[in-house]
Amino acid sequence: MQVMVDAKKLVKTYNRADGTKVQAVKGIDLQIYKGEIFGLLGPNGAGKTTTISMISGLLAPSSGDATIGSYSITRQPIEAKRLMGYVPQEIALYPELSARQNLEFFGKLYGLGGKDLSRRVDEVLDFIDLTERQKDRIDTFSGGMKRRVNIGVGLLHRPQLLYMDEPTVGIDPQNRRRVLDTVKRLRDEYKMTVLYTTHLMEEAEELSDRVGIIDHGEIIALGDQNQLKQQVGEEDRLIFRVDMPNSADGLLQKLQQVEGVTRALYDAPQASEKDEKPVGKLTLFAKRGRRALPHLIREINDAGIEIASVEVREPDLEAVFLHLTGRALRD
Amino acid sequence: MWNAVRAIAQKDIYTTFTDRSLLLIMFVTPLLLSTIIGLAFGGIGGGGDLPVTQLALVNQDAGAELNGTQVAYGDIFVNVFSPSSDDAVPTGAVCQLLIPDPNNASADTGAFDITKLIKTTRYDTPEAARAAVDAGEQQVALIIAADLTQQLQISADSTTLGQTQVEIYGSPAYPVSVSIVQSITRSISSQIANGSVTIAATIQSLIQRAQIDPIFGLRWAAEQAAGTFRPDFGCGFIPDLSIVSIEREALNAAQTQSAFAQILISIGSGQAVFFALFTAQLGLLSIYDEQKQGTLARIMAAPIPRASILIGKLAGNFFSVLSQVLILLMALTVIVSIVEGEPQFIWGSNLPLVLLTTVVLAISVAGIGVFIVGLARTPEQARIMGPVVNSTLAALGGVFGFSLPLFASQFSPIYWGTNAFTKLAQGNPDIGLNLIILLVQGSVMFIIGTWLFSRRTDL
Amino acid sequence: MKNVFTIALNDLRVFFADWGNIFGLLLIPIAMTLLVGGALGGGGGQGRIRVDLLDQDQTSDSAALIEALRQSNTQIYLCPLDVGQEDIDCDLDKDTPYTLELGQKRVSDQDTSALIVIPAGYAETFGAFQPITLPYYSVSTLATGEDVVQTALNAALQRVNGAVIAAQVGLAAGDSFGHNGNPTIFKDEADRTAFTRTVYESADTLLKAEPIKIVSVQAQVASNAQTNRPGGFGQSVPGMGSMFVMFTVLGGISLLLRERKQWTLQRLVTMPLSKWQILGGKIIAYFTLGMIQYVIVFAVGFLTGTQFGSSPLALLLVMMAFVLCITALTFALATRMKNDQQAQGLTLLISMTLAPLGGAWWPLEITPPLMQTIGHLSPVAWAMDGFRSLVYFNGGIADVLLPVGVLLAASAVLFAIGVRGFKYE
Repeated sequence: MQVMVDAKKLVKTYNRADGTKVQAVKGIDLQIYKGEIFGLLGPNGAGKTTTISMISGLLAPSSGDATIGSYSITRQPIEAKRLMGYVPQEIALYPELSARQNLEFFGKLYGLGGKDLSRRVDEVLDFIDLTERQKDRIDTFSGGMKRRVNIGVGLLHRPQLLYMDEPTVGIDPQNRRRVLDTVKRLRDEYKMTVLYTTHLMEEAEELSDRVGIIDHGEIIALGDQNQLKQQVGEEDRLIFRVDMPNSADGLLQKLQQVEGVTRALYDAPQASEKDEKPVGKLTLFAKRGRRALPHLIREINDAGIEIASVEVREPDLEAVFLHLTGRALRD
Repeated sequence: MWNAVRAIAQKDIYTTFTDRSLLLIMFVTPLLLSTIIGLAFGGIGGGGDLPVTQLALVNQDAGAELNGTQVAYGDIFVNVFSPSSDDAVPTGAVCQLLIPDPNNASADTGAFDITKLIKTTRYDTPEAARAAVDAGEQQVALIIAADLTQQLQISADSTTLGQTQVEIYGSPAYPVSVSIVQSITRSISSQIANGSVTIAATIQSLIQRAQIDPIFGLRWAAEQAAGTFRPDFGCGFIPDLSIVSIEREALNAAQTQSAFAQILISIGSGQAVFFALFTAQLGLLSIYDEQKQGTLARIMAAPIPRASILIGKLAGNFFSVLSQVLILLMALTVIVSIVEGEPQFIWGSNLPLVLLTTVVLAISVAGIGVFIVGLARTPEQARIMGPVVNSTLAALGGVFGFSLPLFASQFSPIYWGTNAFTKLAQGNPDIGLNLIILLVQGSVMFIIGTWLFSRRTDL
Repeated sequence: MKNVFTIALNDLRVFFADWGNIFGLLLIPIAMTLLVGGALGGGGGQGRIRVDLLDQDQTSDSAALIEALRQSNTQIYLCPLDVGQEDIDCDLDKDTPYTLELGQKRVSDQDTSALIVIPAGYAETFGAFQPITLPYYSVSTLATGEDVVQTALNAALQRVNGAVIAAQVGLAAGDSFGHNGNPTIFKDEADRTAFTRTVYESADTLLKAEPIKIVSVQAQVASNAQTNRPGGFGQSVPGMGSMFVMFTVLGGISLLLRERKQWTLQRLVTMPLSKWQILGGKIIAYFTLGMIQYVIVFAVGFLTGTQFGSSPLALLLVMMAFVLCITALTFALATRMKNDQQAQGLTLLISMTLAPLGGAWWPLEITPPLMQTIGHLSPVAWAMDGFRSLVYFNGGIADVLLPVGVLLAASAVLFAIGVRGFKYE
């Protein structure tokens, strides 16, 4: 398969105000193949935006390099940028200008002009379904509509590669659905390569051909979804909402003795204004979890602990993240 | 409810006085500006140094014969403006009528060195002098007519004087220099004219007497022929026999303050009010920022009446403005004290009235602020209208150092405020009209503005 | 280069999309230019000046002094003497007698420019050639016409004193006939007094005729073969223009910060553009805005009939050098600003101090020499120097080379700071 993006040992170091240094990205190696949707998944602050900023040329890496096509982003930035479109997390549009004016301006900077530009702008407006509102100012648009124009700008020059940095943040489910469908269309109809960052497991699962999981500035897992899920084996996740006493270690050990259970984790309850009585989360990893379930319930009841709810989840990316980091993706 | 009002007001006052950029507008800019204006017009340390004037001097005076002596009044100008010139002759007019007074300190004050004020270059022709002014090489040209002395002589045929002229050709780029030369020239011309007139008037009167009294006429003729008629006409050319003078009276002790202090009182108080207008508007515009960041919604979700939010905001704004003006007044006092080298309170001795004026001004300013913000449909509009209104009121109020006709100035509350502070500084407590006008204007704007503001912000 | 202009044009379009910016570019500068120009004497001529005069003597001699005062400055009108005359407003109650206390109060209240008192016994003292002092009350502010009043009064006194001096000298001349044992020419004291009076009146008549006329001529700046009296607009047009250029161009700091906040700047960085193209586009945009501001204000000047020299190229050079300097200052400051409020505060501070310091509000010439030197720390002073040599001295390119050179040098330094520290993210 042809490599579209090849990032090697990308590092980004920042200086703190007190003079010490912090490494936001600690050496990322990453290859994205042509025509795939690559999901870069990680919690907030993991380094997704920093990584994508370096690959897109917005941030200069402290060390390392990335090539887009065959062009180095550090040494041949102009050529590299011609191949890519960028859809940032922010609504990077001029609110005082209309949708059409924004598209025309950015289109010119991508080298389009004259009738070609006009035609292309029409096409993009049609693609994002905003032809009727093309003359309206951006600051009159809803959040979802702004996001669509944001995507439209990235598509103007028919890039081979599209970066999308958390494009569904802060929009309603309907518009979110529209964005996700658009991403799939871009791959399927236009054979575009997409680098898609998100902290939402569901999005990564739905869209990605391959996923890179990033945490604390490092890629901790990389591969297609089946490969990643195999890291957690065939284990199901059984999630019990319970209120355990402080000294729960004895029970956790007991639960791990149940056949099929490989690991038991307990998250103590968080104080909540809504809940009258906060409950903790007991997560058990087990092969063939449904078979182990009755035994686990009996053990918990025998310990005198009330179970508020039970959930059985088959292996997913969240489980992979939890397996690798010990933390939930949403923490 | 009042707890909520107090909490909101305190929060707003705190955020205002901890916002460094607002502090730049509230304090640094007005103080800097007032000091610049004060130094520009009041001089450093008071008094005011004048710039050196570049003068082109053309003396065409051909002179005339007076009692057998060649006299040229034009040389007097040369002597004054260019004492080092070869043809500068000491006036040395000696007046026997004057009895030197040993107690008269003015008799020995020391000569004033005009070369420190005026640098004179001699030119041969008027055209050359004018050209030098046109080219910017000189600032003023003084051109003395060729018939200066001749026109001021009486003769056997005529005892009336002719008319002559002195031309001052000034560059419009240097109005101060021109007025300095005008002033000195007027003084010299006046002395020459007085002297000539003295001679002419005396001779005329004697001739008139001789016409009535022929015996006197014969006696006079005899004395002239004998050379014993020697009146002390020199006395006519010097001002020492003047009897009428001006004495500048101080209206009160405050008038003994330096020019720097007086300017800082009028301009400084105006600047304080001008920049308080910005504070009043920016403080209220912050509500739109609060809307955007969601904190306003949070406040409105709290179990407090909407009115308390509005009152809290307005109260906080008012106290911010009041504090700002008070601090600026004190800071101006400190600046004057530093520049003058001694501590002094420049706002007069009637402290209660100074405080009352400040409070009333704060009401006026806050009223304008809430009116502008309430009137504007969007915060962007308010951010445009605010500076327009503020600058216009400031210009009308004389804050920028130039004056407009009184009827125009009186439209500006800044004028009334500055006028009140100036009067108080001079010990004049008659500021009732000022306070009434400010209070009425402020209250009306406050009420209308509050209504508009509450509607805009749904409070 | 095409991309540079595309960015510049887009920035201008964004700027003009906001009606408020057009308002700020047009209305305020035009209004302030007209206000200041008019106040500085745009068309020449001063308004009428109210002066209070209390004649406690009420004699022909005091009347003569009053007449001399009127003649010395025809703009002065005297209160309460002129009450009831057409077009005269003394703001005095007809029924309230005018007293010294009332006059002093009117001075304090700035209801009148000054108060002159002719004390009782003036004529008697005057006739005896004894010294007399006229009390003069005034309040020193920038807004009063005090200097003018004092000048006029001094001119009047010079005439009155001149006649008095003539009378004394004439009397001495008459008395001199009686020296060395010769009989006096005067029959009695009344005759002596009458002679003195004759000399006085002759002198007064001669002085009234102004034997030495002082002719004040304002130099005319010939440009394009037309005469030009710049008046107040010669100062206010370049002065206010320079100040509003600062407001407009320094406002670019907020625009740059906003672009960073809304990520349109970052988007530009991800595009196939060099950083020089991005910066170049922005610099051209703000430079253009500054020049537009100058053109608007100078258009007002042209409409008022003010000429700005005979070298349009020199005028353009000065404008461009100043606008470039302020543009560079904008970029240098933008590297330091963290948010919009900071930017607004600093813009106001810088504009409102550099403008008066540099002679935008009043000619630097009227300030002390030290303030003139300090004033040249402001780029406004150098621009005003350039404009003045064009407006008042019909200068050419050679005459503006120094101010233009200084402004360009400052631009280079400021651009170096600004470009180096410019943050794209």
